[in-house]
Amino acid sequence: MTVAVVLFSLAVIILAAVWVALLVRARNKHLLLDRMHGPVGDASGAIGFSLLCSGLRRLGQVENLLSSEYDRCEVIAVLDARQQPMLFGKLAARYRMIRVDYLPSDELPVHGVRSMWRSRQRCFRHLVLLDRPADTAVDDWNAAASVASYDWLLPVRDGQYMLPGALERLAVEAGQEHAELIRSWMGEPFVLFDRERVAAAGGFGRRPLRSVPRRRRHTLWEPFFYRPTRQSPLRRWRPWAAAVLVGAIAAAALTGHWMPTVLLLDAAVAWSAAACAARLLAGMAGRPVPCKISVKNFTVS
Amino acid sequence: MNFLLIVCAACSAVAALGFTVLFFAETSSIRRRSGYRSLLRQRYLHIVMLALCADRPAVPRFPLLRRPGSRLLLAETIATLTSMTCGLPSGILSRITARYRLDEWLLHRARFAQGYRRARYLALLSCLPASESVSRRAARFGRSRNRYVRFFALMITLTAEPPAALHRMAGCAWSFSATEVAEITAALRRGLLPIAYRPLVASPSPNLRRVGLSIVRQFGIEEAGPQLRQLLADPNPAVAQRDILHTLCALRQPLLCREVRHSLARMQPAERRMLMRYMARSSYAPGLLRRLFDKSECAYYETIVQSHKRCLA
Repeated sequence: MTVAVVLFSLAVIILAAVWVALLVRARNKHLLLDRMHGPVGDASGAIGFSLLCSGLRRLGQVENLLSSEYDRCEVIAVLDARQQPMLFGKLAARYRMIRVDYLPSDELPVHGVRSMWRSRQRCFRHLVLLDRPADTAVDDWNAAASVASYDWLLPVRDGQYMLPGALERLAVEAGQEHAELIRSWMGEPFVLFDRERVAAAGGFGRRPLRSVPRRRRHTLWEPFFYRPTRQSPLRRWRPWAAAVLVGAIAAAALTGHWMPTVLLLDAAVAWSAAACAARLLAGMAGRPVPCKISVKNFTVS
Repeated sequence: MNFLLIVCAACSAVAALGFTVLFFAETSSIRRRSGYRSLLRQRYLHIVMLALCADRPAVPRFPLLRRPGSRLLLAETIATLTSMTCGLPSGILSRITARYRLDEWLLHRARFAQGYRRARYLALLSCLPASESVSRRAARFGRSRNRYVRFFALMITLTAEPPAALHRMAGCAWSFSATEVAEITAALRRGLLPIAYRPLVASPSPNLRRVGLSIVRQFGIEEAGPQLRQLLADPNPAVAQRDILHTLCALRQPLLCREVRHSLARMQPAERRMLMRYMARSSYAPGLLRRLFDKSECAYYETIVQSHKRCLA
């Protein structure tokens, strides 16, 4: 039993240390690549992104995805105009959508597309709407990929919002040698596919990820997407919970119960590592941290 | 057994304490970044801009420079300014860098940092007007295993010695990625290096050729068209056929020639489809493609082009 607890404790410490070390490394890389503006300034570059949206329910999500300042990107939203006439009407009116010809290509298995629309609004030229009966996300992405103009496909689900500068950062990564797949599990997980890989696999339903060799998969440890959530009401109880944990550890150690002490300390390690990771991720995402010292009091002599 | 548990508890306590310290350090770092450092950055930028606009500029004084992190902030401010602006007078910036020994300080930090942090300091140094001795000392990072460190060490030597730039780029043992080529071209756009595309495009070195093609594409040098078509006829595998075709498309050059047809025949179907999508974005008419591609590939192109229109008849 004692050996099992010791091994468990060591495993917790090692995992937490590796996790935080990966995030610190990712933060350093993020700070470095923030300075690389070359791919963004290359107006005639070949790196472009098609964001394929399935299961869209909010207008705000489209606005968020269209708000990227990266020039070579488009948003292809797949909607069922019969099930969601209100949303479809709102999108058509807001972005002045115009119906265009939809010609199916034989690159990917696509069926059931009723109509295709493109935005006429000058500042939102990059929006495409596909009217299609409600189906699985994979079929929606296949339909969207078949009309995509760019070489990198980014499937997006309902409620996934993009962080500022995400596409600029992905452009730097996509421009590296031998990159065919880029993914991140931080924040909202996503996978960015090389279009030819998806076409060669026969669509998103055929698991295109597996066809990419491991050395051509780039895994990033920083957030690019997020899901807006309300702050938990239990948040304000965290200091009290921390104090209770410290008290319990002290009580167990002072009374000589070493097994519970080790287990409670493991919980403290996991908690502090998670808090540390959350702070590192917040720093990379550019989210503000509550500041108790007011900035207005600071003056430069 | 109790001894084992006590040792284990001590390790866990040290780990928990370490993570807690890191948490508070990171929190205060984020607060500083969004708090007084952002104000100080604005102030430094304002001072540098005033110095640049002055008739007889003297090296300005920067407040709170002795505070931890302030020198990095000044280096970042100058590096951001030089990387975002074309044709800045380098005299006053050189004097600021020399007076506050920013280049020496960044090189010192780079020596004791590892991985991406080292690359970040070198990236900053590559944007500053560094002295020759510093650039010579930074050249040793060119042997690093980290690709970013190697690249920014190269960028420092390129900006410090523009006449030797071609020799340095040709001497690189690794082939440049698209991101690296874009970074070098961005440095060219800022006026740090001379723009002479002909020797680059005609060079046998794949790296120099890629940089040359990027220059042609980004600066829209249309008179390079005949030279690019000649290069397509070159059977040398080092010639990046795909890059040349992309460059011709970006320049909206006529593609109906024997060299382009031969080059297209040598490409893989996936590469041809990629080129077609690029051609659609560059507004080539479907009529032209019927003479370059076979029927099934033309149908693919027409689906891309037609989906941007509405048939009213």
